[in-house]
Amino acid sequence: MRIEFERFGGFAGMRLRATVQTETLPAAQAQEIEALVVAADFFDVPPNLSAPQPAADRFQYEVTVTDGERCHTVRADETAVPVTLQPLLRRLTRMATRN
Amino acid sequence: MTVSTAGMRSAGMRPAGMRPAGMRPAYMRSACMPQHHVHCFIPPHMLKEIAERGSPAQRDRALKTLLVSEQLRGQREALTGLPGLATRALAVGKQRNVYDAENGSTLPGRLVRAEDAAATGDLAVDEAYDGSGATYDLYHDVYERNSIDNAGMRLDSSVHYQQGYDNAFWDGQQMVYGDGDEDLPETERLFNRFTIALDIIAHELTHGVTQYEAKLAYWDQSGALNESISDVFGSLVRQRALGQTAAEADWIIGAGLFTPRVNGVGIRSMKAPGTAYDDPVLGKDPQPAHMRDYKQVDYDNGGVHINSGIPNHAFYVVARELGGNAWEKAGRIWYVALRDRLEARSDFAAAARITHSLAGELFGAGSLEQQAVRTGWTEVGISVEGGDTGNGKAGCLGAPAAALATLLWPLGGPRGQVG
Ligand SMILES: [Zn+2]
Repeated sequence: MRIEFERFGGFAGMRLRATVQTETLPAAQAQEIEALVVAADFFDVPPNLSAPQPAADRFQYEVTVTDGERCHTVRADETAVPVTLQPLLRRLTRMATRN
Repeated sequence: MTVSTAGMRSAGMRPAGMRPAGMRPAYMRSACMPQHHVHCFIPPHMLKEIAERGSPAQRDRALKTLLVSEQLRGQREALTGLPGLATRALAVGKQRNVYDAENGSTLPGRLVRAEDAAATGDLAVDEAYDGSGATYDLYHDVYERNSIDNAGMRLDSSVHYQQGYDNAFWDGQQMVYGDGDEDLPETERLFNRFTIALDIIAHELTHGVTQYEAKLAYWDQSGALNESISDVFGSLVRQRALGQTAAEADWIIGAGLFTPRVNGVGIRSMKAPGTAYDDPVLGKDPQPAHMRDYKQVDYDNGGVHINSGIPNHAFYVVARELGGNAWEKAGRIWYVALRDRLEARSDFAAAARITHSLAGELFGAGSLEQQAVRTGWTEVGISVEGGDTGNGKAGCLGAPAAALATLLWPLGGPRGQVG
């Protein structure tokens, strides 16, 4: 499974990115992340999760998961992220590097 | 009717949600205009009636009733768009509440410090309390403004938001602060708590002021202006608290936010945009200081935190030219622009034209102040005579809209009350 993750905006306006290839990770970590993708029901999350209006200093996320034949991209405003997706975003944020 | 009259004006007289097709930039995924949700429990037209037709005593009583019910119910938005009432009969002064989100996402959280309560010993709590107080004081003492809505709105702040939350924001009703990288081992932390810099607190509170005044749309140039206004007053609050002149101030936004592991002095520099940090992990400060380096990007709502460097630097140059305390002259011009002239879709050129013309009105045509404003915008590549009027200006209103405006605001505008 391949995951591309980006976070934009926030007070600092810094860009955060991560590319995760689960096959290259230690087995426990790969399982943990794949489980978060499943728990988020990621392939059924609507591709555009927008807040009613852009909110000052909040983040925006863009996540693409490719798993075999399946590929899905989700763009989300921070305020519109479903509770089920939050753990995955939090995990990816911690794996990301800035710039 | 849930659309405030002021909101209609900023949307070019269209009720929210009825913006014309094709206006929305590609990266804008929202379907509505970026106006805050005004869940008025008293319709604006009724407030308008009280403001315009009531006797002075009725107005005062209405205001007091509104203030009390507002405090009881937390319905602060009730007073939105009522500038006529705002300066009147304000028994309520500075009111601050600080809440502890206890590392969760539920807002506001547990009340830990109310107005006049003693310091708690929790750094973030006390910084949020003192910082919102210093911000209230600048607006009140220098610009005669009573809080975010100019009607005594209570200043609510929540600290310890989530875990490892390296951000601060204004959510339309209150300020919210994360603790930075507190969840990482100390040797890996890049960010301290976000209350650590007074200008960050004043930046967030100023988003509230902008929400009640110019309502600058949070994307592209109007969004970068919105961001810049928050940085300008953020820096001014800090300069005033430190007793610094324009020459003495560092003009850094977010000084102290980085841990010593980061090669940087802060998040943004108004004096030298693009130089605040240059770090192997964080990358380099992307801010431009001139229009030739304006960044067209499809993220961050069109780079609102990037291109704010341009108007930020214009303000810095104006303050540098004038010398002395930046909040007194440069700050006043910018404040009156925010309160009375800037509109939802104002762009950089409109801001240049407006502040230049205001400097002439406030300090005299051809005054040193007006010359300084011209110099400021010229240094960032923007003409104060710019032909581009931006979007949504009053002059672009169609005839029916203009007639409606006259009906709604016979006294010459929904904000009125210059002075
Ligand atoms: Zn901001």
